[in-house]
Amino acid sequence: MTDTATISTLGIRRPGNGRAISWISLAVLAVGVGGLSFTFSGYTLDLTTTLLLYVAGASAWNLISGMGGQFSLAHSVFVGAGSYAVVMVLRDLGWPVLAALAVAMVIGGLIALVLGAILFRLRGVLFTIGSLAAGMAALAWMTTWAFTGGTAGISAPIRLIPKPTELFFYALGVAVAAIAAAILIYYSRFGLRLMAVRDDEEVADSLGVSPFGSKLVTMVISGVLTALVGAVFALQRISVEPFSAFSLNWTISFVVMAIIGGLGSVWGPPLGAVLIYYGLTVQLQDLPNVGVIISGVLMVILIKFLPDGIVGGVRLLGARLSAARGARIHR
Amino acid sequence: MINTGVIVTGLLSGALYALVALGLSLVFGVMRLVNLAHGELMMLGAYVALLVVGWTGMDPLLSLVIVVPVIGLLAYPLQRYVFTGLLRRGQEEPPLVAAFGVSLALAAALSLVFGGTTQSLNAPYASTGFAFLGTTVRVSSLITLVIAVVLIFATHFVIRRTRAGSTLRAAAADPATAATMGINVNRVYGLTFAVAAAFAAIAGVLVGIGYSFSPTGGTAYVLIGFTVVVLGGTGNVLGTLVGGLVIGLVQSIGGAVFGGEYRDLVVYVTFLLILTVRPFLRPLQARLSARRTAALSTGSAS
Repeated sequence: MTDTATISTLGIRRPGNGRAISWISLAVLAVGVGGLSFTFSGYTLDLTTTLLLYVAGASAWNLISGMGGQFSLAHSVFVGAGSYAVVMVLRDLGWPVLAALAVAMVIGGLIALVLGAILFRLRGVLFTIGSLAAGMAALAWMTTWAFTGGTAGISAPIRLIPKPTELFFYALGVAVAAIAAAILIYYSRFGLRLMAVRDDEEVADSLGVSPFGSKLVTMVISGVLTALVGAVFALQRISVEPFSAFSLNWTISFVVMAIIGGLGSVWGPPLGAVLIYYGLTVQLQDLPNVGVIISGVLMVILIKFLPDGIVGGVRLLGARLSAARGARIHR
Repeated sequence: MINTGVIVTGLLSGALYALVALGLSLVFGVMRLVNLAHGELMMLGAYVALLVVGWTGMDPLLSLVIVVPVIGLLAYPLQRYVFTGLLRRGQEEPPLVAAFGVSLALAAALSLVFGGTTQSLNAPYASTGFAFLGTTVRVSSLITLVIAVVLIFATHFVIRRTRAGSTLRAAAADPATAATMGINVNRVYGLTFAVAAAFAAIAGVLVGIGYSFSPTGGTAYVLIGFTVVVLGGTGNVLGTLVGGLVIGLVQSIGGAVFGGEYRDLVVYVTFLLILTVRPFLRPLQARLSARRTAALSTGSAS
């Protein structure tokens, strides 16, 4: 009632049927990709599984960093924690895969809670630097921790690893869950509060919105989803070791994808993930550095000329076109 | 476990961290830019020195005569045409994203050109050393210490006591008013960034002589650099020296107590601790800098 109504009368960010269109698009895409998967070759299936996990990771990162405005460089921690959790549960407890994924979610959520409680004392860029420290600390810790196998890492028993087709549907599920979370937050009262905190923390605070609370809840949702991404990645790769599972490259990929697609929007990060992963990473497989150079330069160019990414650019173009049409009619 | 040797080693590496932090602190203090690409600028400096040394066969330290202007000239347009416009928008995220993009592209470009392997700059004094208080002090570490201390005090002097310094302080304190007073703020920003990048390059060359470097090696240094900046007080030049020495000590003592593999972890955890207790630390830093400013103003009055 209150906050939603006030903001919508002010005309800020309340696209009329955006919510319905987003849900329908998500359903169509999920069914479409799921159905198409039966025609995929082994290679394409593997590729699409990875792509879906990047879609999920970029979307999950965008929740706290795009919609919440808390530019996190700590998301590799969630990927790594989810990876290790799932492999260790499978190896040491022999639980079914779904139970192992649930454990990964719980651990991701707990880590997000602890990290958030520490890092949300910091504002703006200090949060970012603190989150980078958390990411580096986790990597340094995991290379020395004997419990998780140190630098050598650990692997799950092959017989417990799901088949590629099954794995694909786990990845699809995680991607759908992440986009659904983005739609839910973006179009909810909670999301409006979160974005109000992002846009002006003092004003939001003075209006009775808890900045710390909104950020923490979003961080936990983001952490749970990102841990799931890590968990399915680990199942795809069977063995995990700290330098790949806790690599800062995870965070870097999510950041690049979300920013190029459109920071803070629902569909920007998934779009960015498809463009970057399929358009750059896969096409330039033999020249990985060229791909990274292009995405780094793209980031600089986009933030300079199109700060809301491709989705923002399309929206801008749409607004220009309809304005031009309106002008013509009036004439 | 903790002997004088550990302390000497810590102070020596602390001087390097202070030098890394000097450029970061300058850029953050003047234009509130968190330069995530600082570590890559360090590595770029080291690689340029590698090329210069390879071509001319000159001493790596002497190669700074070429490396510093090259990095400065590369850095100026980066600030002038990329970061300044973004900073002027008044939001925190765009400049951060741009710096992140530059850092990514630079690291990838370095590994494309030079390969991902670690390298080092060979100098006759790189490995020689002498016994001092129960440890071996390497000549390269001593050179680093001297350069770091000289640069930090020189920067402090320039900022506090020269006309260029007051221009810089004016542009930092209030860009809009400074501009009405005839200060070209965009140029001040560009020059500050170029100088900071030059400091990064010097630090990179010293890392290359004393240790080793790789295209992605900058991240760890940039994080330690930020730790020092936060500990020393943001934008406080002399604070970076104190902060650097403290972090060097923490790392060295941490490594001696917990084992060498925990050296870096100790620093990162310390950083998180500092960030959490920072609200309580700030009055202390304020009191220290107030006392210094008071001392300075009486000094200039006389």
